[in-house]
Amino acid sequence: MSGLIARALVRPLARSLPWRNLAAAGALGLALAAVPRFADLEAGVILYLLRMAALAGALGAAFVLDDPSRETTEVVPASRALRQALRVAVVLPALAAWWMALLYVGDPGHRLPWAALTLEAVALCALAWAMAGAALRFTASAAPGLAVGGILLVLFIASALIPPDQTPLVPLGHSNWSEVHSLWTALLVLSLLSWAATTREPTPRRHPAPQA
Amino acid sequence: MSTLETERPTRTPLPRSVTDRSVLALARAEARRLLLHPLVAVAVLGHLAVVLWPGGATGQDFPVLQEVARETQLGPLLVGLATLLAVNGAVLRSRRHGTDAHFDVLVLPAWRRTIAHALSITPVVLIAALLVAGQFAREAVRPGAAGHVPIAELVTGPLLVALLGSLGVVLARLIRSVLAAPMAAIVIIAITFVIPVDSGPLRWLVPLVADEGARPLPADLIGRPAAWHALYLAALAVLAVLAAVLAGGARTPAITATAAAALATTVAAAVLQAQGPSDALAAARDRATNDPSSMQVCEDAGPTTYCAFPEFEPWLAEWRKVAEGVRALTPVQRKITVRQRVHAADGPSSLRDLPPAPRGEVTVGTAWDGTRRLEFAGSVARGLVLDDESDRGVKCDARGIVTMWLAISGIPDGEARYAEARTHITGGGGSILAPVNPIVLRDREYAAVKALLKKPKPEVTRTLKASWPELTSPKTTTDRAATLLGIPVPPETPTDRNWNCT
Repeated sequence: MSGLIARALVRPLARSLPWRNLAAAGALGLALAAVPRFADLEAGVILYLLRMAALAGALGAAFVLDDPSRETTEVVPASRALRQALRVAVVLPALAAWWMALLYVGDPGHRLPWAALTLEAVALCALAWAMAGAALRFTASAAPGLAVGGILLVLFIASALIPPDQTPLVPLGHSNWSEVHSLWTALLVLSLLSWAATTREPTPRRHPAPQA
Repeated sequence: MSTLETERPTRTPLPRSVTDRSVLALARAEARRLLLHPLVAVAVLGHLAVVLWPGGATGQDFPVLQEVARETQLGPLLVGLATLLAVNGAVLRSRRHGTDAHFDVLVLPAWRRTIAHALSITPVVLIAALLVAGQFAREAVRPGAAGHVPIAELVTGPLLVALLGSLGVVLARLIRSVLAAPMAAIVIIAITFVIPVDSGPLRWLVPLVADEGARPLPADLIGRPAAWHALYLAALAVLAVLAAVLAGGARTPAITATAAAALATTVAAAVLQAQGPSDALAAARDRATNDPSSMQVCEDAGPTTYCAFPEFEPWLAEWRKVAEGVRALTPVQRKITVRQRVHAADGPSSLRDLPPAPRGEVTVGTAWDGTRRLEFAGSVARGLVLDDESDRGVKCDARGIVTMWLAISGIPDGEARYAEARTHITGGGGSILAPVNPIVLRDREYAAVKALLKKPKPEVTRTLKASWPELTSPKTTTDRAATLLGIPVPPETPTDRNWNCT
């Protein structure tokens, strides 16, 4: 049943996704990643450029769960989990291709640990979706993308202001590198779990139907 | 076929006083919402926390005011980024909620509402100005503060808030997407903190130019075009607001002319701030680097003379305490000049080493705190023992032991200061990063110093004074020094032999 619904939903969902936001964020990310092509930068600086590109991507992705027609789609038989999963599934291939392109553009010499950077980028996106999911679950907002983007920006700037020994944006070659990346893994797992938990529809208590 | 014709309703112009009052009323309402916006509130409270932090933002007892003034710009930049996002969201609110069309029937046309949004930034700018003033005043009232008050650097912070807020308004008028503001914030962060823009003329186009990590310079030698940069920021902010008003549909000749004037001012300020240092400044920097005595004030105190750049005069007493503390442990009566030196040739970002002082002089830098006290004590001790700052070699004899013991014992909390400074230095042996060349010892001589520090200071001082000529002679070996001072010394190891002794 849900397979049928999913197939029926994919095309209209794909049309309603915020592709222009994603494209704009992706273009900015690629522009940031292309900076090392025009200037001779240290690997440590390129790392931060790619992190900012990942942040741009996550800001664009934060809008994916925005559904201006929320009030009308709430009553359709397709569950919220299915609708949200479909939205993400539709953009995921594009995001993955964008991220690979970004790594190739920004770090053609493979001087940076791509796996760790990818983990950070995925965790940022998952955090964005977890926060958007929570906003949709617990508030009446139809479009939490902007607020989620603001929180992501604040978290990123705050992390950048923390001294190198404590920041999640750990500098390249720092002794905390692997430790901090296990925290990123934990953030990813927690975000996915909390997102999954908030995709459940709030089920209203069933009252017995009034007897005529 | 029939054509449906609608008649455009004509606006009846309202009296000027009514529209002005409406603009101000809207500006007040929006200002209140802006201040209560979570991002702005978080940024302002964060900045306030930095200003009120116990011990101050820098935690220094001897701040250099021209440096402190530059450090007041980061907080406002973050408040400005929050304002950019918040005011952008405010201008786009009617679009998000689908109420744009309703506004068309109200008394205020779009361009007047734009002016109201631009005016709503004012309270945030004023709060940022208060915070900057508070942060600076807190450092400036410290008894140990030195340096000048650069007004242009201080107004830069509030102007950053004004510029970024105006940018939020114009972005909302030009790009009707809520994503534009976060993307602009990312670009601003990237060009300010991540992408290194070298010392070319483009450098000053970035809103905040930090010049971090360098040693302080006397105010006259810094050569940052701070005043032109402040004008550039202000003109750019005005230009952004006027561009937003023009985009809101107000093509009146007065506004177009003002926008053109703002554009001209922005370009002029951008050009003027990009000019390199003038010939006079380059000459002054060269003189300060190579012949500082011609620019300094001096104070004679017994056998020691203290010379500083005029704005660092409050520190003379501090230097005197250290220099007299070290000299009191020795029998030396020779005249010594303590001279403050800078490497000013490249402006405030220079990381180059200071040039060594001639014989008879010892160098003191332009920063002062607990660690610097120890480093200066090292400088004085070397002056008393070797009288040669240009000597970069490792002293593997009595002179090395005596120099380092004098430095550490010459200040009250020398051993604690040394332990603290030591954590930032890698490699074996012992070292004190004196202002010019570091004082470096091998493990063997460093072990002797540690043994010597364990003995009572008066006893060591007596022995030192009694055997001064022999203990400061290049011919006296470490073993002989250990015998004279009555301390054990470990045998020379192969590692010790790898050092370059002179």
